[in-house]
Amino acid sequence: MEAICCGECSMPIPAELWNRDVARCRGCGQTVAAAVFPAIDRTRAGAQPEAVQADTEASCFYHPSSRAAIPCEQCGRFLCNLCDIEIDGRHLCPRCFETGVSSNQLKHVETSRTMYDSIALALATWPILLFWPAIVSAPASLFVVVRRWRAPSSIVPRTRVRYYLAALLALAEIAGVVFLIYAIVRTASSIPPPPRPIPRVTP
Amino acid sequence: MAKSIYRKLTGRARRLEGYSQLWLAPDHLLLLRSTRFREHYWRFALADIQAIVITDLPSRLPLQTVLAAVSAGWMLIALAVSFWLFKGFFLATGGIAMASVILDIARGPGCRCYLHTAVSRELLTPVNRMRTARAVLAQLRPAIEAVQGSIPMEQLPAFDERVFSPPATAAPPEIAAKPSYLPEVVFGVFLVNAAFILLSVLLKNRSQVSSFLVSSLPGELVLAAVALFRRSKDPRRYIFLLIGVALLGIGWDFIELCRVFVHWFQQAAEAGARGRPAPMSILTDSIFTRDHAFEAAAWRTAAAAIGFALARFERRVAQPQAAPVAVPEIQ
Repeated sequence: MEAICCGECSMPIPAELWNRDVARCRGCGQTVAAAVFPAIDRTRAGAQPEAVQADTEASCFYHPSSRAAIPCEQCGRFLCNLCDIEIDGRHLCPRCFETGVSSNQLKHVETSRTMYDSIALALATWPILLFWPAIVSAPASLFVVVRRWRAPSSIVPRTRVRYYLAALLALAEIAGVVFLIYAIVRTASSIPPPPRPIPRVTP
Repeated sequence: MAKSIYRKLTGRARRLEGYSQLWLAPDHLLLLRSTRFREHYWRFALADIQAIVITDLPSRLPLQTVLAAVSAGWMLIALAVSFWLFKGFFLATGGIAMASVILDIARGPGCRCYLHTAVSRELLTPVNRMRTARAVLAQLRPAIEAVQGSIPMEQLPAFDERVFSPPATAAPPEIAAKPSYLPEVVFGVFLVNAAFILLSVLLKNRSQVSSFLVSSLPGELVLAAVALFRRSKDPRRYIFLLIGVALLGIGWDFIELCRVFVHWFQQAAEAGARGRPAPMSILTDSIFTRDHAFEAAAWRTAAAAIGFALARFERRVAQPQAAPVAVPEIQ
């Protein structure tokens, strides 16, 4: 059992001060509130596999000397108590678990996600400060919006407003760039060419 | 959009590199850390949470008061200058600093919150204020107790024997902090600056001295501020009071220097407008007026002298007396 410590001085907090509204740490004298729950008293030993007693008994695919307890719901391999991984109400073997994590099929063990909407919005906003990078970043932002529109967003509630903002800003920037190029071309074409030198006529 | 299983527990605790936030699901707590473009998730099953420990952090009210006073002083400089651009600059920057200090005070005392499981002790960064901590605990405690139940108060003493191998009733042994020499360095810099300030008005070729002062005066301020920030590691007290008073002197010098600079700037602007030659650069001449230089050198010398004496006295008092070593008798 780990000791419950003060967050300031790491001094263990005695049990008599647990679950009180206000208590003083005996190490640093700061006010501490330790909410302790029955899990503190739980033993940390994991499930123990049982040994195979007879040749006719099914054994674990990964541990031939251990008795099989349950089959993997994905691949059907027999698993002992040690190899059984229960996740989202399903029993999986370590290999299927690994595959599920790497292919993002197990939502409850996903540890990170990329926020494409934030990337699109950043591409549409930051480069404006320097103006000229918007020539590249605005189409890039629009590409991210179109390409990643259906990509999974955050696992916590998050609106699509960043996508909408990024698309609007990117379209406005592209329109601005096109207009600028048009204006430059038009101005350049309206300037009369320099007069040709008149050839000298010799009598 | 599909209905999410998550309920927001805290607001976003923003940092330079991203933010963190706490969410509550029916069976677990989610700590979200974002680097703006990627989110990382830490899940803690409600059944596995052993404890949540909230520790009140030491009060920062003295520091906040000093910062508010400095911000107010900064804004007051606007009264000493006449050029509208400088007025706006001092008012705007001082106002922003003052607003951030007031916001910090309004958010209440800070705290540190740790979540304990059987295999980890995780700092919950979004819970950084006591007000937030109380609100989070009020929501989290019923959710965890619905899964685990609660520990009866009469069973609590029994945990002491199992949790602590050594009894935790005594305070940890006190480690005697050896005073650093930073305050002495600050007083030394005061003395050096006093000498250079005097030289800057007495010498004929003073440009080198003025250039040196441009670097050494901010250095003096930084050293004094660092010494004050690190004072908790030093058992001496009066020298830090003296450094605090000296900071007021530095502030006064700063205001005077701003006045000199603004006066020079106005002269330069006027000369430019009338087509006359610009006045001598402020660094070529002395940055102090003669009267102000004597005042600045005097208070620095006095502070250094008193500071050295106090530092020596307090160091002697603070140092623990070494236990006498028993000398064996020679037969």
